Amino acid sequence: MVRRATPALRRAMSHVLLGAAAAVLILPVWFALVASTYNGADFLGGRVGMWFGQHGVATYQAVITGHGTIAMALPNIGQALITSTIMAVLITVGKIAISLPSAFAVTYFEFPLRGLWFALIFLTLLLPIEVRIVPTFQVAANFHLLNSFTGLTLPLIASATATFLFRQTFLSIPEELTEAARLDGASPLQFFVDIVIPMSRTSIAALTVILFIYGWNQYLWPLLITTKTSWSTIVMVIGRLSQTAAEGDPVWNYTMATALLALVPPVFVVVAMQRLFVRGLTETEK
Amino acid sequence: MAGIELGNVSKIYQGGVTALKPTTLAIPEGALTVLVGPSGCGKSTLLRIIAGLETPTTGTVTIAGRDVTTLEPADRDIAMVFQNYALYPHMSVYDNMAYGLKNRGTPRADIAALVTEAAKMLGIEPLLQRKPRALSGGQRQRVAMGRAIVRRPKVFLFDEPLSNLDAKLRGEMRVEIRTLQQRLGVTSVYVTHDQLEAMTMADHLVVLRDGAIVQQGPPGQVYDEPEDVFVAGFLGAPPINLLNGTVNHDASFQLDCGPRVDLPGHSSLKPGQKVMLGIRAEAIGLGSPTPAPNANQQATLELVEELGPSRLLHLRFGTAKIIAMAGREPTLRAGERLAIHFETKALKLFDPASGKALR
Repeated sequence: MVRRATPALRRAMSHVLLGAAAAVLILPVWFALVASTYNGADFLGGRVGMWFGQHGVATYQAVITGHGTIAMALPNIGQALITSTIMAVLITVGKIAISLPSAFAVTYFEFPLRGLWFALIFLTLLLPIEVRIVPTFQVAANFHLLNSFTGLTLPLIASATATFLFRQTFLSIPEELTEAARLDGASPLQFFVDIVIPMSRTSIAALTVILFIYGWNQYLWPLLITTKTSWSTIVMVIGRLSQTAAEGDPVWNYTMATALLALVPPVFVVVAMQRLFVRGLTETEK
Repeated sequence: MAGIELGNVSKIYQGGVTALKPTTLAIPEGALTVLVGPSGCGKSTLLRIIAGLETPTTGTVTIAGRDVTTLEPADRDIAMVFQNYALYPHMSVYDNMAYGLKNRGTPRADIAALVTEAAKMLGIEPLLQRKPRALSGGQRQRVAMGRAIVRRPKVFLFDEPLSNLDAKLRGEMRVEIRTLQQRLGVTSVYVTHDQLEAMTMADHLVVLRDGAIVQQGPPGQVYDEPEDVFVAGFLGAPPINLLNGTVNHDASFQLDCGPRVDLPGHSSLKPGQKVMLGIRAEAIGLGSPTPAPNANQQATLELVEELGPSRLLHLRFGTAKIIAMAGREPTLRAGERLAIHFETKALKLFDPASGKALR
């Protein structure tokens, strides 16, 4: 005989399951937080437990003021955060600004070799920055784009993924709306601005989150295109710190603290966009 | 002058599918013309060609004397109501109605006046600030109509506008559209697959089938004098009863299902000729009024469908099943043997091979 769980039991079981999953996700962050409150030697000596140590305030003071990092010729962490933020925002805005019209073109317009153009856009998926890094660097260097936001962001902006996703969104807009707009005398550009973009706000919000994090996490390209430490991004700083730590100076507490601080802007973007995104999902009727 | 003239218009899609055979049609000015037919008959293609949403493969479209064949939909001075309303979901009712005017550069004050006037006419004034998702189906329908009338176009096009509504609302909106159209006197083309909608709304009825016009005229005339079996069967609910048979030597008619009927007045029929007989449900009467041809037929009542004001009687007539419409006469019970008669004038004859009416 199959016995059915009572609703209360079932609810308790789902909470246990959800709690366990949440714990698995949170645990590494918790470890980083705890580790940042011990000094580096304690970390190496395995004296870090599950609870905070004594050096938390000192660590964060050192990291934020640059007191602990300047000695290692690292950039100011605030500056790195600003650089990273500007880079991620430019990449996000640039990718969306380029892929919206290109998706609009391949979705709504008949032009010669449309299929081929779409295929070409799609082909760039096979050529991420890592693959074309040497020639791209060459080009960027020739254009004197080293140590500039243009150099940091421009080669990363073209996006086949976003173009494809926007195309899918546009295809889900009922054709009758396109026809209604034609009858209403909307020019293609008016249709794009007045109908297509407002109706795609859910996708735009979702992509903003994804692309911001993509931009934020860039490591290899910024490493190449910047030669001055003042242009370092926060991810590069973490990289340098962990390198230093691995080479002997046990600055693991600084590394962890920096990593946690580097989490703040992406989390902020996710939380801010989540609202819009959920509202968009529940409101939009197609 | 015709409101809309279609000269030899056809539509063949890439891949060779013919949606509309070369069609010439004059749509009367100021009247409501209904294009009706089963799905795939080309009625929507025809409407979309008038709207300019489809480019005809051949032919010309003339609206109010102006050749609009190559014009964009927006430049044809028309407005269209879509099946799914096609309201912009992110805009308020007001903005939905104002959008077309805005794109045409109408001054703000004029837009406000026009939208308010149209909203008043349709009784949707209190809804102007709402978004379409906060409206019921009937209200959305009204907004879609408001969006059409606010521009004061020369032509209204309706593409199955009532098919998403429930039966009761459909009945109400039918009257409302009709009233509005008569009040504004704007040439209108209305596409539907619903014969009831077509019959009740049309000034001019156009029946299409397989991409061609089969018959057109005032709805009553098309109903009374169908040119072929298809039109006869398509219009009317319950559908016309069709019985096959052969003409006898004495000009009576032997039905394949058993009984004989008389066909006075059809002198052109030859003995031995196969004929299809069409009898509308309301042309079958109960009892045997004397003296009349076809007065004394017998049928067995199998089922009674109560409609309220009338009843549908499902009868076994010989071996065939026919449906008669009767008033609320004395109690009838299934299994009963009934005397019935046919109104001889209402008998329609068709050639079973071609389906064409025999006159």
